[in-house]
Amino acid sequence: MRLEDLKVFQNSFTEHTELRLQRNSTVSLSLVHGNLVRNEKNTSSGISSRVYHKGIFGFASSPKIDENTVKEVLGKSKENAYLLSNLEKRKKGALPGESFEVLKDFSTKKQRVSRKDMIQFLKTLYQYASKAYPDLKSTTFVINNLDMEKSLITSFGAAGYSLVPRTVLMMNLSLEKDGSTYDTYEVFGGLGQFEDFFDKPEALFAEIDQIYKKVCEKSEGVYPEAGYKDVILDSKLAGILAHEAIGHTTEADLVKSGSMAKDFLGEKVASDLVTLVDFAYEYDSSVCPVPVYMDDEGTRPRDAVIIKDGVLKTFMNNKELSVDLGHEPTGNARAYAFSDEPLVRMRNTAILPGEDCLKDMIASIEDGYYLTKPSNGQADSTSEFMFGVPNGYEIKNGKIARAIKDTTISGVAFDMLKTITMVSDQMYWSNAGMCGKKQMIPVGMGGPAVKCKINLGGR
Amino acid sequence: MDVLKKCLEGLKEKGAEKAEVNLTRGIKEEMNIHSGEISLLRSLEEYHLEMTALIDQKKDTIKINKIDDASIQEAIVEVIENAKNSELDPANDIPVGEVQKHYEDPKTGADIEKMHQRLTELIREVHRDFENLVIEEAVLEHLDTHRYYENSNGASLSSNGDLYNFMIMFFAKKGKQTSSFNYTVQSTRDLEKTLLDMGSLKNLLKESIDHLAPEEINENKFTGEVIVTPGCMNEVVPFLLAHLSNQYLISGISKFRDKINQKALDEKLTLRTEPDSQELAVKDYFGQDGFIQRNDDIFKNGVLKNYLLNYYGALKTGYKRGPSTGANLVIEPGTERFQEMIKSMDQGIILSRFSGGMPAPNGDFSGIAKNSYYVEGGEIRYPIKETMISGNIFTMFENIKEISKERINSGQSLMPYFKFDNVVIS
Repeated sequence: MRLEDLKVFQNSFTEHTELRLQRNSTVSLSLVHGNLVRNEKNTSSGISSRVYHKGIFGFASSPKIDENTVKEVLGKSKENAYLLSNLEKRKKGALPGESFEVLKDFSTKKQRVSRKDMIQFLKTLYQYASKAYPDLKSTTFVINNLDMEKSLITSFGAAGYSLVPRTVLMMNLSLEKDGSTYDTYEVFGGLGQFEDFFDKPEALFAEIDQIYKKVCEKSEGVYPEAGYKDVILDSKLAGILAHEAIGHTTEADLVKSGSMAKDFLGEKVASDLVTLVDFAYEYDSSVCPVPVYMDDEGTRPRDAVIIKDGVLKTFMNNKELSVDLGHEPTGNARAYAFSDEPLVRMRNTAILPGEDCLKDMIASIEDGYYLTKPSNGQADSTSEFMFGVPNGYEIKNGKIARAIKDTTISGVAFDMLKTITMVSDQMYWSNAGMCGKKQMIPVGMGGPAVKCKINLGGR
Repeated sequence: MDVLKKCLEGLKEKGAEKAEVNLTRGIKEEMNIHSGEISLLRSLEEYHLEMTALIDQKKDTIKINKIDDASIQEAIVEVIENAKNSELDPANDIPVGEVQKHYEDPKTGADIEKMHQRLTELIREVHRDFENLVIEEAVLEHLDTHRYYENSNGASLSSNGDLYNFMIMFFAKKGKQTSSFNYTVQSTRDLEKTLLDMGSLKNLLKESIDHLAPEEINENKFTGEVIVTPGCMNEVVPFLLAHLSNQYLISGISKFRDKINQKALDEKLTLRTEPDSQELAVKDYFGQDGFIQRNDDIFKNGVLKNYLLNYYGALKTGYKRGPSTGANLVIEPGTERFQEMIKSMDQGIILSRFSGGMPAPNGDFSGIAKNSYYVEGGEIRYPIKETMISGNIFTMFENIKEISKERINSGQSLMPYFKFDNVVIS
């Protein structure tokens, strides 16, 4: 069933309705210590319908997509909306919508490679790493590909088709030193399919060399001193800072509930050097890692300029919350699977680059840390955030010193962002972010290096 | 079941020497609260069909969510092709024996009106008894699950049961003061009890209100004791159990490699997996690899008794297949009352939620203590904010100070309070 086939059902919409046909297809390969421990494909597809009635949403879905099932799903979603509406007896007005059409296909234009070739690609990486570095305790090479294909029509006349793939290669190396095991990793890939990023495995040998160098440094590294420190967050950390520290706090569902951000709209929350935007699909004339040209409610997405020159300007919303909060709709309603309802989600959240040079930024710190890589993170309603830091260095007298072991950093976003005194002129997009909020979903995160003060975990 | 037989026949016909098939059918009714209001009712019917084909000890797995003939045939062709092109591994195998067993739990059925009644009552009672508390999100679902497993050696397993799952996320808000969010997850066979009476929800809501006015600990950094609450133990224990899993044991980085029947942790710790627990709502009778799971010790008095490997992991490492792969964790209670554990504490914190990542392979971790309290001289002094804790997960479990008599049943775990020392608090 294609977008055109979905449109047949448009005449049967009697009120605010979204009808979505979606197929998620993933390929996962995992080579652990030379063993192919995962070799699988997962395809999940089906139809879902959501109906809005007096402040209530009814939702239904089915993996079957024949005409009768689609009609049943439409009927069930309407039945659910009315059933709950009768129980709740809420009197809420209609939601806005518009009519427009979008077709976007980011599938590869190159010749597709076979699964066998992908496995061989991983094996070549493993063979190189184990031969070049026989002291490695373990290696893990993982390929994850997700192709997300959606067709959506709404009762307002919006109609969209998109195929947005993401392919990620993760290389992790472990080393034992003095009875302790240390590891570090790097992630490659982004928007596109395997063929768009990975041609010859030899092109990644230098990256393996770098990961080995980093895990060796870490194994000989020191525990950072716990406390409130001067740090340089490398551009690879800026994206997760934008996502965790500010992004979640400014999602309109959290704002409506009462997150800290609600109290600071229009106020100074960061240094003048900070401008933070959730981009819909494009930055600086380039397509973002997770482009959204029509959100899953059929809204035309716009960039949400959340912080402009340090002032909190707006929130990311969906249709209902744009009405509740009296803001323009930003088109941030996204669903992971066909059977998921759209939630307010980030798309491509980034701090914009400044004018400083990273070298000067490091030179400006007498005693602090240069943190070079993030792992997972978490946000809070208080705007307090944390994320793991698997790699970094001490800075002593303006120079890079010893490597550090794993640590965690935290801060209160609306305090910490005011401590930013330098912003680099680089822009780095992280292409592998997954965000969890009832459903997991791919997100893009980006930014430059920043100089700030932050809490560091350690000994 | 016909679908599984059809899959196995198709796989064999197309060249699979061995094959196994898992099918899960789930019927879900789900009611949602967003920003304090009931706003969504979802009805879902879901299928997860997983087929694994083995040819010359090469393996491939395909997962689809459809059970019609055309989808199955298409998937069979693909999985056979990919199995042929996969890697030879003698650990690729399926269990021997024609085990045939069906598990049927008594069912309660979905009651939409009762679900609405319980959520409405929750909103009302929270509003009445917990001033300034905001329910950011709550999800109450009824899930009716049918599971089937069959393989080409003649094994046939199935189960059917239903339960309610409840998740709530909340924080407190008063003027411009906002507390950290907290959450809890509960599984239950029925809705006889109010949602507020499940697990430790009432305590957690009270803690959120306390945290409207948290304080920074006066001391910049100290090494002290930590009492970890049962809810937080649900987050911490998986860090430890990762070292008993396929990934850590196959890669060789597990802390517990070659430690079966050896003392690995403090003797106060007895941790069990109970996939067929009488006390827990969740059941997990058999694994995706076709093994019937059993209640058994993981650590008994600190001695490692079992890994949590599946069949592939077992064949790969030479250890036994685990009693489960980590289902339904139950920790034996200790000898102290929670209040007594606080009274005997010189200086430290009660950790109610840990916001941090997976510890490094050597066990080092750091993260933020959320919804937590500062304790000094045997008394809770004040709720804390912006507090980082650092330590080593193995050192902590090798030196457990106390375990409480009280345990909290989440429906999928039974956890007491733990007291550890030598944790850096900053």
